[in-house]
Amino acid sequence: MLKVIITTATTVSEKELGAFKKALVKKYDQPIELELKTDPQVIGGVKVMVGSDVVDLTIANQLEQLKKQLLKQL
Amino acid sequence: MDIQLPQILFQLVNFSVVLGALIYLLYKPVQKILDERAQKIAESQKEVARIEEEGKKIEALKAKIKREAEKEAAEILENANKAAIKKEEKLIEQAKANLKENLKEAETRWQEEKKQLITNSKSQMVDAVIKVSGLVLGKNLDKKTDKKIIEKRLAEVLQNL
Repeated sequence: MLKVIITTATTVSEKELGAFKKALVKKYDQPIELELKTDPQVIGGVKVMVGSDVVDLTIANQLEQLKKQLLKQL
Repeated sequence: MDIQLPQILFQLVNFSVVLGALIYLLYKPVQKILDERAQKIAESQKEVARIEEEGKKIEALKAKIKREAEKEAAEILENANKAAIKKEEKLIEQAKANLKENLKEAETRWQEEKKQLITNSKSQMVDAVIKVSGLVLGKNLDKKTDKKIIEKRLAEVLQNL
């Protein structure tokens, strides 16, 4: 079974992530266990960890990227 | 009165003899002494004149030496003054050059520090803007909007995995 950790700012139920879970099962061709985490620090959006793969599409991460871009231009 | 010629003649001869003896014994030596004295006096005067002449020469030499010494002293003083002025000018030039160099260094340092200050200020501003943006977004983002964002992002996650 493949463990997938999903982090959001607000509480999301597994039911709401049903379509996503199905897509994951199809993609990885194995059962998926979802672990849902809530972290207000991410502000909004979602961060998904599948094994060692991490996709961070949170607002906090986007702001961090924006900050890096702005500092690079200074 | 009888004029006795032999007596007169005798007296004349006597007188002549005495006169001759006086001349020979007294006049000539005295004359000789006087001549010698006059000669000595003349020699002394010559000597005095010579000494005076020597004295004048010495005085002239003294004056010449004094003039030359004064001239040399004046030259030494002038050279010393010139050297001192030259040294002073050199020191002033050196000080000016050092000051210019220090000013240049200070200006460079100031420009660097200014640049760093500006960079730091901008960096802090960016930090502050991002923080405030985060706070504003956090405050204003409602659950409904967040869920929409999550849905959209999950689709992107699937593309990225």
